[in-house]
Amino acid sequence: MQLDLVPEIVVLGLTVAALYGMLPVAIVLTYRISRTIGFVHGGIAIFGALVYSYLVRGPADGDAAHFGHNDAIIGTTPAILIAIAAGAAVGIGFGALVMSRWMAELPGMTLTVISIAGLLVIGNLSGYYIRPGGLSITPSPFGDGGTRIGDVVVTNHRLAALLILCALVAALALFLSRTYTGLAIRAIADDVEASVWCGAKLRLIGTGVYGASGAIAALGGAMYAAAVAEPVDGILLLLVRGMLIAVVGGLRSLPLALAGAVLYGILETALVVGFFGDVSAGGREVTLSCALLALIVIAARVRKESFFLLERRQA
Amino acid sequence: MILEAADLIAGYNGQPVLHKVSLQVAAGEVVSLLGANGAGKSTLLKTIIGTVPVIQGYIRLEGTGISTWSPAKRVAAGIGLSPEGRRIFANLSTEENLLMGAASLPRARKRDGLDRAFTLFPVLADRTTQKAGTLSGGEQQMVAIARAMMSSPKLLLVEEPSQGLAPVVVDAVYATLREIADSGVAVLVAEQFQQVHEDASDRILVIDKGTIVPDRHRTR
Amino acid sequence: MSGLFRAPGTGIFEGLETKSRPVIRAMGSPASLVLTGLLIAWGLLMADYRVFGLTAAIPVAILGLGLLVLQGWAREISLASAGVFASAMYYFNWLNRDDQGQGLPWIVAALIAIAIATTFMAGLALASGRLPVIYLVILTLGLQVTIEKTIFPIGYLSGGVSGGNGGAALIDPRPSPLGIDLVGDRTFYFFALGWLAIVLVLLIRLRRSPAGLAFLVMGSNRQSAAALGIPPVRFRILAFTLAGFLAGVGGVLGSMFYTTPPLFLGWDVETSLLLLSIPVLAGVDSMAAVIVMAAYLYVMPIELERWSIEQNFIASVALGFGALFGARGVGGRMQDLERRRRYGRRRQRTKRKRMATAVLRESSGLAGENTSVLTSAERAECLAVLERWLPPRPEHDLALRATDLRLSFGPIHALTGASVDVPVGQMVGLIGPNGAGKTTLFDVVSGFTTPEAGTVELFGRDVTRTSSWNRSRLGMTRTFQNTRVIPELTAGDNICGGAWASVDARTASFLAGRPSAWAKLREAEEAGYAAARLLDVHLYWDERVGSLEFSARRRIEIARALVAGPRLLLLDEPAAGLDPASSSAMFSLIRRLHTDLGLSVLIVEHYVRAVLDSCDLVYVLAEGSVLASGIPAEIAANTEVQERYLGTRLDYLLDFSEDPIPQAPEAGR
Repeated sequence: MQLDLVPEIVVLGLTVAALYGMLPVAIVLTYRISRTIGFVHGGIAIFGALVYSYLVRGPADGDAAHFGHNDAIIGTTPAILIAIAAGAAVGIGFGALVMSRWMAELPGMTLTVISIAGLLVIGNLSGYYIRPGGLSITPSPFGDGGTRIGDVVVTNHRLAALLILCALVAALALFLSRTYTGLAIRAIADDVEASVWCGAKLRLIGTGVYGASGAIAALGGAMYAAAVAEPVDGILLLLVRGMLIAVVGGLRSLPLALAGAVLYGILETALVVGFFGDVSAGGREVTLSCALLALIVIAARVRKESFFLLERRQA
Repeated sequence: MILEAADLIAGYNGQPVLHKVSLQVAAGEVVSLLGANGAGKSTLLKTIIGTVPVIQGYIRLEGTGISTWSPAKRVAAGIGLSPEGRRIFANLSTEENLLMGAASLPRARKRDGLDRAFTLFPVLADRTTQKAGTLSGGEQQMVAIARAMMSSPKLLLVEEPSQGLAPVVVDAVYATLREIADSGVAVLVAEQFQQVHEDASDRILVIDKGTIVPDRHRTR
Repeated sequence: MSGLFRAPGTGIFEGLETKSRPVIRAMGSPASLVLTGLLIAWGLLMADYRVFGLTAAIPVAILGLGLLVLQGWAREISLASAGVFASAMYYFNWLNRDDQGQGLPWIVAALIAIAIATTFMAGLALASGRLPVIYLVILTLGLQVTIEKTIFPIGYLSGGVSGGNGGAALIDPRPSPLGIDLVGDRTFYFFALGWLAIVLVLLIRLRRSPAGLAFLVMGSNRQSAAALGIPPVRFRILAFTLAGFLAGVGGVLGSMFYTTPPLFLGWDVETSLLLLSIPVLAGVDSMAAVIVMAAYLYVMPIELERWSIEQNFIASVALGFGALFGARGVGGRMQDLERRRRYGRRRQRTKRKRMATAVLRESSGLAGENTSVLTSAERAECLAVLERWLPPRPEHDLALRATDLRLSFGPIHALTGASVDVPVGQMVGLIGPNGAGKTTLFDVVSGFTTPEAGTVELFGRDVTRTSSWNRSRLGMTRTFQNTRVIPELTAGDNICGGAWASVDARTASFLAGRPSAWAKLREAEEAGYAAARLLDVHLYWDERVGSLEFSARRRIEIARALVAGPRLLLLDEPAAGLDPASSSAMFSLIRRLHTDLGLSVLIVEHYVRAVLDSCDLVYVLAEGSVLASGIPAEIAANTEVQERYLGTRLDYLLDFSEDPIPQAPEAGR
């Protein structure tokens, strides 16, 4: 182990965590409101990534004139705002569907399967119809400059992602604890039916939460698209990682999910830069998965969750 | 009449559970609704609060038809429900639980009910920041009733208030219900047969297989 | 017992069709015959490309049957199915291949490849232990990604990202087992059908064996499984193992079929998600529907090619649509039609028959007027059958002794030193408000919660640290307050679901189809049917429990508990939710079972009057410890109990009801 690598690992790890952390936030939010795992956010992230890339790179129309340079339709800042708005719209649409009266009464596992179907349909349709052209690299809304932190140079893009994520989690925490709507969201997470009997506007709030998490998912997808070359295939993996991270917090806790993202980012960076010696790509994946599995099992033990306890709560 | 329902047919997915239920509850009255599980008392209460759709017939609150209103609108118009099993929000504090009872009120009026709740149940005033899940069974029942009273309803629906409580505590709960009724609220209490609390109610209705059994009405 | 040799439908077992020859029975239904006919005709008559398309579906159907076990029976989810399937495919190819492979005989290569797939799933289940299902959804997804990142890029296995294997192709010619030449696609189709048939025979036998029912009970409710002696964690691991095994079998068959394994891109996360549509649409219990779904996924894209509709799109739509059918899926709907065809008339006749009437008639001497009420000879015969089924009567004096139990949940002290004894052969009532700790005491006694202090002894044996399923095997079974039967299954299957721990035959013997094993199962069925007759639910034997009224479901749960072989029966609020007439009928029924079978009974009940009327001994619990205990008369007269619990409302029932309440003769004390 090379201890002099530690600062570098921490800084880079944090920025990796910023990319991994967006989807868990969306997943945790919708889990609280609907008790289903938001697979659909993967689809919305793909959608957001493609919309953003399309807007800043132009269409792929097979014309050789476009090859080798971007043919931006609009600037990067309006593009990312449009991507977020589009993600929110898709989220609201899906939310209105699953919060509707006849769907709301379906069991949680069924809704999870519907969410998976949502991921596949949205992901496939956007992959089919939205085809960005130009360069294979998507420009970042925060420019391509970098900032030196200690000995490490971090791209402005990743730094911005980190700041956005922290601001997002802090704002959400404040929103949940300080506002009446936040109170209602926490009450719905506790007992859906009882909050309806209390007069909470479940469908409105639920659709709103789906819209907000759709926006976050689209932002996460767009930020990811600007950081890597082939976003669409990567986003499914991003979603899987995001879910594992969200599970660390029992799918309910935002701060714990953030902590999970940071741990994961740092561990991955440590493996990549060779902190534990030279590890192959496969070995890296196995190490990461095992570490996360262990973390999840330990976290569940601490919360004393087992399938017996969960059943009692339902009964 | 605060609550009037006539020839009410209601149920899930178009399958009627209630068959032509008619009942009236006046201000200041405590009416007990008795029935076995599956007899329809719970469905009747949920139809009144609005989570079970009406197929036919009408429900009126002070003469206004509310059959097509959303639950939130009905709560705002003056119906409160204290559900079976209390269903308090275990991870929220007592005060937050109470504030949820005012969820459908405009922002300015949300905290108005707190004082009244603490007058009805002084014990709760000392427990405002405690997580409701850690309260005792009796205190949780108080939270459930106080929560339903937060929107200053004209009609209070109470489902199985004595479930799981020692009879001494049940007597106290019924005394409070009487107090609430005396302030001009119509109170409808659903109970299991085994738990009937005859002395505390003005009238008893028996519901069986989704209809009110006519010859079993009793008045005090 | 001469169960196998007795013609079904005679004597007290009238209406009990034997399940002893499950494969023949399952194949006898018109749906199965049509499906079999179609599969064979397809291979003989259809064009080559269509036969090829359906052959590709068969390995996936085998994989799908594994998903049925996992998702339908055990209600777990795996999102790693594509990865596990493809791993088996690649490993078989590499192990069997002569060109830069290992060149092992195909049978050895197949066994190793299947073992690898099985290990993946079993290992994950072992590691995750008791985690809730929703976590497993995500952990299996993690397994899929790990496989994608570790196995898929290896060149000699999958061809890798850039063609791997040193530029050589991964060709592994089809083997010729027993000298059969499989090169022709049509021959291979029937070879694959043979594999599918073997898997189906084994799975049908497993499903009909007590272990199969145990899977379903476990899937429906972990706690009730544990209470019936079925270890839920072991069955969860078994379900994952079986799913991994079948994925491996499917993968090996697929590898033989394709000769060059398909690109790994086709077996990624997305495929795993799409494969979910198979068990979701098929429902919990229909193997035929799994095959139809797999065929649909592979044949439809070929047929729809001219409209350029993708497999992905078909599956996603099917998935969203199928989820709306609920746990029974499309397969369940099909089975309903079949059941209606078979039992239609009986269903009409027994619908809405109420328990109270039957028992009331019996006690008023009107037994003869309703055929469903037992004559005393039939009753005696039913009791004799059950008596043979139950374990020997215990020698010990005390069935249960719980001493000084203490337990708190955070600030709440649920039990503060409660001690309860149940003498053998007595019916003991436990009353008190919910907060008093009755439910906690029940959970501690049945092993769902470990006390902080105190001991639990069962028939003289200390079981404080014993798991609930092992306690059940010592002769204790419990029912639950919110009746926990499996709505998707018939009453008969529900009742026999209790038999896993008491049937004295190994699951392997059932899989091998040994008649002795099926004879043992027939004994369990007869015991279950006898219990059903005693509880007056036998007319529902072939009906789905979900469509039955509340009190019938509760009696089915009690019958299931009896089949688990108890000498001590714990009943959690058996009268909850029943009207007064049904409540007292239920109590007299329990009382009679208790006297006739010599069962020791511990009852928790809110319905104080019934407890005082029918129990030998009553405990009053308050604030976590015993406030008073004694014979009912003492309890009723105890002033402290009256003040703190009973109040003055003891006699409401007589006061209120205008009907006279019938009492079974032995209940009036």
